[in-house]
Amino acid sequence: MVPLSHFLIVSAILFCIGLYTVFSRKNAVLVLIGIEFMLNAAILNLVAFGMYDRIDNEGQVFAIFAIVLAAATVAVALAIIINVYSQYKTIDPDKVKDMKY
Amino acid sequence: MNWLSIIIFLPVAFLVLILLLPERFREWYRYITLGTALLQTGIAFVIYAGFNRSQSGMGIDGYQLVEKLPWIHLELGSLGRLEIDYFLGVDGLSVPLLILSALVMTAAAISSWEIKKNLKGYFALFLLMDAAIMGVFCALDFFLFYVFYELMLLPLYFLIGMWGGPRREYAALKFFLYTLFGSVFMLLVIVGLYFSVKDPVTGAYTFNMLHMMNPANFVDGAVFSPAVVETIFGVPARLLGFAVIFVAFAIKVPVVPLHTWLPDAHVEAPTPISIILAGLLLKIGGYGILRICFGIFPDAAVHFSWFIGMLGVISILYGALNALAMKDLKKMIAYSSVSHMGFVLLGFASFTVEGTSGAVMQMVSHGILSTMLFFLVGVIYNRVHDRFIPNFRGLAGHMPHYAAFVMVAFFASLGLPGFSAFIAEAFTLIGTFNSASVNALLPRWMAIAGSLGILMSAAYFLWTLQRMFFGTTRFKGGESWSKQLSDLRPIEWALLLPMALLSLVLGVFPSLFFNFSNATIATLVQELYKTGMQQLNILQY
Amino acid sequence: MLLALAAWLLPFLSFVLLLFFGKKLPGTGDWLSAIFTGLAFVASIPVVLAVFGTAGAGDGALLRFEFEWFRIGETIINGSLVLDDLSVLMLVLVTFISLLVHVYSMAYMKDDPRYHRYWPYLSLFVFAMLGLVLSGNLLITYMCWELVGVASYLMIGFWFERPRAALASMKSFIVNRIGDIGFLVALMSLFSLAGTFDIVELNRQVGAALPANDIRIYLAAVGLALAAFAKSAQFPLHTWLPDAMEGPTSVSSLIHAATMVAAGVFLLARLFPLFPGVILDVIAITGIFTAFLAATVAIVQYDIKKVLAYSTISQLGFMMLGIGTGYYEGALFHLVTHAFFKCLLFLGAGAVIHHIHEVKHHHKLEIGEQDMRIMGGLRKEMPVTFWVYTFAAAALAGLPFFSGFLSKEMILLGAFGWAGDKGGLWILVPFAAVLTSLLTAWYIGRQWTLVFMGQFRTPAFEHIREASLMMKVPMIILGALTVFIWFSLNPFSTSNIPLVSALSGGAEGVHYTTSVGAPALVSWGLLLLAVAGLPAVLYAAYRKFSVGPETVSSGGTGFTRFLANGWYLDTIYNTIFVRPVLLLGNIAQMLDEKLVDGFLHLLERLTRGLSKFVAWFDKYIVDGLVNALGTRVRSAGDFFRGFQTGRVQQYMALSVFGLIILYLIKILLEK
Repeated sequence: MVPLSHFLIVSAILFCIGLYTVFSRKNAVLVLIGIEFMLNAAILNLVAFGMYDRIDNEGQVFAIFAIVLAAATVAVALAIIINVYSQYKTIDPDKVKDMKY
Repeated sequence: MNWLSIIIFLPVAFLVLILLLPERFREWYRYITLGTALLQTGIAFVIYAGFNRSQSGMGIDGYQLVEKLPWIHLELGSLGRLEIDYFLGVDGLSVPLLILSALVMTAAAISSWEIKKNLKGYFALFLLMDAAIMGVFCALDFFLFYVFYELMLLPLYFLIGMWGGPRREYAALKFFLYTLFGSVFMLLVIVGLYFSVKDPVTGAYTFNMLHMMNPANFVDGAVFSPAVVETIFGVPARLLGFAVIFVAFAIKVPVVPLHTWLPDAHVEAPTPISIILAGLLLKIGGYGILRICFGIFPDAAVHFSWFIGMLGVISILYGALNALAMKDLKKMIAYSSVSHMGFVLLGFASFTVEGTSGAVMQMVSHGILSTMLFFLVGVIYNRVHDRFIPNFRGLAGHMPHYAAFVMVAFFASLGLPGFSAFIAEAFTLIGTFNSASVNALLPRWMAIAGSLGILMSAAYFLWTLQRMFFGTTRFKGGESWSKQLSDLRPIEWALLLPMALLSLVLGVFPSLFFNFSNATIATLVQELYKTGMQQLNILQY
Repeated sequence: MLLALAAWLLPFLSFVLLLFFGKKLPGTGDWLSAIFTGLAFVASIPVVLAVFGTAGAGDGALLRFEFEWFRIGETIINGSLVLDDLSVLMLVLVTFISLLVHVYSMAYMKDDPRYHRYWPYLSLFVFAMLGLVLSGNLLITYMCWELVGVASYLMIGFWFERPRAALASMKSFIVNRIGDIGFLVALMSLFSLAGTFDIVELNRQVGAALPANDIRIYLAAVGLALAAFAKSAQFPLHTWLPDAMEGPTSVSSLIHAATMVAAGVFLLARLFPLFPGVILDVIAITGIFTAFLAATVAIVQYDIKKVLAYSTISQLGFMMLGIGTGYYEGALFHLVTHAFFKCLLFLGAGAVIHHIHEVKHHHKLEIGEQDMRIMGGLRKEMPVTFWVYTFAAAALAGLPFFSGFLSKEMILLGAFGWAGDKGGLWILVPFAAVLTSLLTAWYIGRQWTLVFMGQFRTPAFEHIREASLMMKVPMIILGALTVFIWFSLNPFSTSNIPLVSALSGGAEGVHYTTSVGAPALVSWGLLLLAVAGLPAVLYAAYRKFSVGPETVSSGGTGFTRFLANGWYLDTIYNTIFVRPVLLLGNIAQMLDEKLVDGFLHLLERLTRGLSKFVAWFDKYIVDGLVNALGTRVRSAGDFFRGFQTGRVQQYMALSVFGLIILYLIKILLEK
């Protein structure tokens, strides 16, 4: 039996990697991947906590929901990125200045 | 719908007609207006003929052609019922003024031929004012009176301000503010009176002037009740109320020192408006003082009679002195109006039948004469656009007929016997003099000081005559003026001759006027003096 | 009665007709006016015959004609005509002299460009004057009183192109207006006292209450006296009359010598019972002072009409003296005789002026046609004028056998008697009168000599012709009337004059009696004076002024200048009355502009200032607060806007950072 704390550690590492990716990449697609990392860290937590509910398996259910939603958001995000690219000829978030105000 | 309503609303009907007629019938407006005025004159004489000369009294039975319709009747909950009636009626005091109004309006309509721009607006406003003036003399409901009174002001403002001379805006504004100053405070008193008087029949508060004149109708303990002494700022409320309304009408008369709107307004106004101002507006002041101030507050009138007489004397002398100093012919005549209207005040203050009759006759006579005088000024002003006395000399040789009419008008105004002003002024002064022995209200020297005004009127009129009309002919404008200064045209004759004859007829047969007003004025003066003295006793404990 | 009414209204009819149709009538209607006046005269004769002298004591024999004119209040004002001795005497006098002057004027005014205007004015005057004398209602008397003033104004200003005439007409009217004010005050007082304007009633009621110490009686008396002084040109209101000579001479003769100026005397006689003794004394003193003053001025005048004008003033002073001494029959008698001879003097002077004027035009001379210094020797060329003038001058001087002697004698006798009653210094009054009559003889002798005697001083006057028939006839008629015989059979005695006895009889009921006649000594003394003294003075004047062709020296010592300028009264009046009044007018005007309007404008400025302040307050204080708040909010917004960089990664970092801070806070709070 793998203790819960292991899952949490992995999850935390995943989250940190994601966070770092989000902050540091100059490529919007990589930022998106970083977001996916963090999301998956959260999903991992959901699954790990799900072992305490063996009757309804609510953790697993919510994890599946979250995965579906994440797929949807990625689709939207990629669409945005494509649009941004066609507008600005770049996908470096720092160079997209018109987003403020 | 009796004659009074017709005479008031006739101009309104024609006003609508003028507004509906398209611009290309422009010249018709003049004839429509003149026709209206003539119709009104006709109606006025019908009223004159049908008037019962012996009917008199302070209550409703003293009035004739009475018409009373409910106008605004509202339930106001805790405040009671609001009762405003459309209430008309005339007596021997208002009918002469009504006839005078019709005549002066006709004269003004004739002299409106000089107006050249924006005819539609001019004649529409003219007729509106006509209706309002007629209404003022007929209204017996204080609210209705006030409506007409203010309604008259508005067209005048525009008529002076738009068709006037170079400083017309200044003059119009001054006139408007002056008059408004008076009437706004009057409104306060009207409201006060409204809450003091109850209709004896319905028991509701009322604006009915005849009820206000009867001390029995006052609510006990109300502000203006004569039975108890209410004070405002330590002054008895009735005295204060009188003073406020008096000031409102005194501005109209005008009384020195509230007179300075008059020279400006007259000088800037076009001739027909000057005629109406001098011929009718001033009379509304006098009428208001006698009918409303004296009628509703007889005690205060008796109380203040010395001051009123004094104001009259000051107006007479001060106006005459000013007229003496004037170099502008129109201003000179304007100040002579101040002087002549002083007699009206003096006569009212005397509380004698002779004085009051004389004063009312003076109003009629001055209405006729000032119409002539202002029209005569208009004649030369329209020809050469100048009316400065030093710029003319020897006009009598150049325009003999004009000079003849000027002489008639001047002599009539300075109180030459045979013209109406003489009888009026003489009896005003006789009444004033007699006051000392009849009711001891005015000292005798006031009559003597007043007669000095007659002397000075001779001085300024004759001096003007000498400067402008006599001597060798010489004009400032030289040859071109000589050509422009043609003698009277037929339409000018048509106005001047009847006016001169009218003044003459009234002067030779004053019974035409006195028979008419005697019964009313005699009752009025006696009643006012009697109630005034009774109430004054209460007022002074 | 109807005839009297007709006599009154005929001139009025003529006035109206001429005023409107005068220009179109043949001869511009002069005949119309003359005929109507003539008819009035004819109508007045039966009236006089019926009334005059028949009136007994009281007012029982008074003929009255009454109608209700109008009523004011309870008082009924009746118009009425009263025919008694006084009024019918004046009626016939006025119509008669008017008729003569009408005839004379037809020749005299012939060539005037405004001939057609002359006649209506004249008719107006006759109408007004008749109304004045006939009216039984004081109010109507007053109306006519002013109307004669207007007629006089129109006539003096007849040649209104001349600035002097225009000025003189204005002056005469305004000075007369002062008197009118007095009359008006008297009207008020009397009405207040008696409640009526009826003259007979007033005389009875107020006269009966005379001793009463009511101020109104004195006011009335003073007012009436003032009115009479103005109309009859008495000091201090006499200055208009010399100036009135700017009018046509025929008018001066009718209005300013014979009739209108006598209206003052008439008025006083008419209302004689109303006067308290004190006022009568004042009238007497004013009369004699005026007589003396005017006589001294007349002595040095060179204008032929001015001499006569001052002489008129002087003679009117005599009449006033007669009234004031209570001897009013004498005054009225003098009024009648004076009317004849003074009218004649003016007509004669007019004839002289008229013809000098013609010669002047013909020869283009640069002379004043009224200057006596250029005249002289005219007796040869104008014999008729000369003789009638001589008669009139003799009557004026008061020589025996002429009417003037009788009337003047009567007044002097009355004055001596009056002074004798009063005693003391009052005796100066009759002596001053005697002195004045000597002066009168002197100035008229001077004039007569300067104009008619001696040699021509202007050669061209050889061409002067005698006056035309139209002018001669009236003069001859009047000349005949200057003789004593028409008035009294005894040329030396005033005791039996039918005219006078009728007058004193008619008014007996109210007569203030002069108890004692003059002592016989006085009457003999006066007679001696008239027989010896006056001719001596006349002769002296003749000697002094009967000079040859050389020009009369117009010496100008200070004293003669003083006299010639009428004691400088005009200048004085100008300085103390006219200028101050004009100044007062200007001050009033300034008050109006600066004080009354100034106050208004001050109010206006204050209001405007206040509104400006309020506007400032509104803008900077009220609005300022709101604005300040806005600015703060805005700058805060600006500050926070800085965070909105548009960098997705930065947002994310910030939100994580924020979460961490929130978490830390939570931890801290839980501890």
